[in-house]
Amino acid sequence: MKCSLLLFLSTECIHAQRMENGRIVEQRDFSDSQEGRENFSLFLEPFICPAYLLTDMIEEDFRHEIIPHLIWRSRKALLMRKFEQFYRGTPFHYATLLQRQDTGRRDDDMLFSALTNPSLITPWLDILLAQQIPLAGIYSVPQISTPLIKDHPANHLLLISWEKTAGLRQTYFIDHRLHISRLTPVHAELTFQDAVVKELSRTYQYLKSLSLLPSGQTLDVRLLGNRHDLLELQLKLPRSTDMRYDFVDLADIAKQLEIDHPVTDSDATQIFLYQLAASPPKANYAGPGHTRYFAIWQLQRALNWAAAALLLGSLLWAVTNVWQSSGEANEAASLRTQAQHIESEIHGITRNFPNTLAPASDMKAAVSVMRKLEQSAPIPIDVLRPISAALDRHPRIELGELAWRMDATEPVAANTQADVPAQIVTIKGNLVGFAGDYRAALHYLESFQRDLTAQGYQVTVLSRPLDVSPSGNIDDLREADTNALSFSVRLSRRPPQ
Amino acid sequence: MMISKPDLIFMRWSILAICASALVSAIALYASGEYAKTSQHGLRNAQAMLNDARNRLATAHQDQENMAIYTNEYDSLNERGIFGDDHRLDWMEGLERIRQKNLATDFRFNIAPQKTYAMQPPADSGNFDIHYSEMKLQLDLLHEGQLLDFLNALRSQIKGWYQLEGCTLQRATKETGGATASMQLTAECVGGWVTLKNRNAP
Repeated sequence: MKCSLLLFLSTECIHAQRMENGRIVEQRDFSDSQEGRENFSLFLEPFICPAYLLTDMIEEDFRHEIIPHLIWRSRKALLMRKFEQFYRGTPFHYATLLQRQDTGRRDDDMLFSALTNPSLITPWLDILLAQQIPLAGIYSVPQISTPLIKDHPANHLLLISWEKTAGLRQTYFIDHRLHISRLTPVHAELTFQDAVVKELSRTYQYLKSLSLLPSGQTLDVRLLGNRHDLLELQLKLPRSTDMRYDFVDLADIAKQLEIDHPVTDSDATQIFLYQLAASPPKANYAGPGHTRYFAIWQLQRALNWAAAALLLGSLLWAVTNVWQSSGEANEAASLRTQAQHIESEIHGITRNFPNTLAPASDMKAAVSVMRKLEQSAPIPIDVLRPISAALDRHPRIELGELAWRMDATEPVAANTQADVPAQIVTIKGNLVGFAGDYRAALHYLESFQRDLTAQGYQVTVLSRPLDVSPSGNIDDLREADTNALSFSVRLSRRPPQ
Repeated sequence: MMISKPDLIFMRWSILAICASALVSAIALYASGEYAKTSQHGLRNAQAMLNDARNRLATAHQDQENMAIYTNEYDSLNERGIFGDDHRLDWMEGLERIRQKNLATDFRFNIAPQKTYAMQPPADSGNFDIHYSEMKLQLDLLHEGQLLDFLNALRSQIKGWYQLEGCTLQRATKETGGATASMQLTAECVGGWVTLKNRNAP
C-alpha cells in the first residue's frame, strides 16, 4: 500500500491530506495559530508516510541571473555566494539552470528563487521534524507548474490558477521555463473571475515593464478553472490582439491525474498536490536537515527491501538446491537398490562355485602361462623329423652337427605366429663322394636346400663348399681333401597361423 | 548524509530485519548446501557401489567361466608340482628312473640355482612369479631318436615342467670321446625346470 502525506501551506493555514493508493483517506485544514499547530501535531502522530510540503506564498522571490559555467565545488561555492547575496535570511532557496547560452563564454542562465519569509514555514516544519515525519521536500506552486503548460506551443505563456487558501497565482514561462511568478490574495468580496480580469491587465503591464514580453509579442494566457467559471471568464476577459486565452477545465486535468473526487469550483489546490505527488521535482527548497527523516526512511525502505529480497532469493536458492538434491537422493536410492540386486546375483553365482585350489583368475593366469611356455618350447620332434627325412633323401650329405634352439627375436615370416618363438636349426655337414666335381656338389646342396624349403623352413646357407660368387675367394683345391666338402645351413620355422 | 547514532537507533528494526534476513539466508544456504553436498556424496557413493557391484558381477561371471575352462588343467598342473617351491628331489629321482630305463647310452645333468624367468616374448603371468632352475644335459646317444625319447620322458615321467631351450647334436669323434658301438652321437641340451610361485602365498 503506497501512502503519502500531502501538505499545502499558504500564508494563513496549512492543508494536510493523507493519501493511500492515490486516494484521500483523511484531510484537514489547520490555521496558523497555536491551536492549529497543536492540532496539526496531533494529526501527524500516527503517520510514517513520506510528506510533500507544497507552499503557495506571496513571499517567494525569483531572480534571473547569468553566471559563469562552472562545475563541482566552484559551482557550488558560486551558488552559495549568490544565495548569500540574494537570500541571506532564508534557508529555503535553490537555483535552477534554465539554459546554457549558445554564444560567448556559454554562461549559465540561472533562475534563483527562495521563500523569503521562513517564519511562515519554520513552525510547521518544526512540527514535522518533531514528529519525525519523513519530509521529501518543500516545493512551491510555480515550481511544479511546468508540467501543466508542457503541451502549450507558446513561447511566452502566463499560467493563471486559483488556490482557495492562497489566492490568484500567475506564473510566467518563456520557452516553457519558469521565469517569474506572483501571487495575489483574493479577498472574499472578489470572485475568481473578477480577480483574473483585474490582475491580468496588471500582470501584462508588469511583464512589459520588465521587458520580459518583447514588444509586439502576443501573450498567451492559460487559465485553469472549472467549466462554469471559465465560461464566465470568456465573456468578461477583454478581447485584444495583445493576449490570447486558453481555457483549461480543471476536470480534464483531474481526469489525467486520476483525481477521484469531482471538481466543484476553480480551486486548483488538489491539482497541484496530485501533480506534486505524481512527479515531485528533484530540486526543492528543503535542505538536508529538513529531509533527514526522509533520507532515513528511504534507507529503511531500502534495507527492508534488501532484507526481503535477500531472504526471498536465498530461500528460493535453498529450495531449488534441496529440490535438485532430492532428485539426486532418489537417484542414489535407486542405484543402491540396483546394486543390492546385483549383489544378490553375485551371491547366487559365487554360492555355486566349486571348491578349488585357487581363485579362478589365478587358475586362468597359471594355465595361460604354462600353455605359452609349452608353445614356446616344444620337444623338437616336429621340427627334426622333416630334416631327418630330407637327410635320408640326400645320402651324400654327412651330418656333422645339428643345433636346435628357440629364438623369439627371429624376424616373423608371413602367415606365421608372431607370439611364438621361432625354432632355429643349424646344420653343419659335409658333401661326400663328389671327387672334385664341385658343380655337382653345389647342385646337390641346392637340391637339399630346396627340399628343406619345401618342408616349410626358411633356409639360409651359411657356408658352401666353394664360394663361386663374384665376391668370393677361390683357392686351388688339388691338395685339399676333395672327398669332404663342408657346408652349413641355418633353418628357421614358426608355426603357421 | 552522515548517519549518526540516533539515526541507527531510529533504523534499528530495519537493521535488525536485514541482519535477521542475512542470518536466515546464511542458515538456509548453508543447510541446503550441506544437504546438496550430502546428496551428491550419497549419489557418488551409490554410483561407485553400483559400478563396483557390476564389476564384481562381471568378475563372478568371468570366474564362473574360467573355472569351467581351467579347473581341470590347473589341477593337473598342481599334481605335476608346478606350483610352489622347486621339487628338486622329485626331479633327481625322475632322472634316475629315466637313467635306469636306458633311454640314452649315458647322460649327465647339472641343475643351477633358481632364478626368475622372463618369458620371450613377454606374457602376463597374473599373480604368479615364474621361477626357473636351469638344467644342462649332456647325453651320449646311439642315434638321434634316443634324444627325442629322452626329452619326451623328461616331460612325461618327471613331476615338473622342463622348459627346453635348445640342443646341439654332434657326431661322436675321437675328440669327443670316440665313436663306439653304443655311442654314435653326443648331445648337449639347455633348459630349466619351471615353477610358478603365487605372490600371495606365504
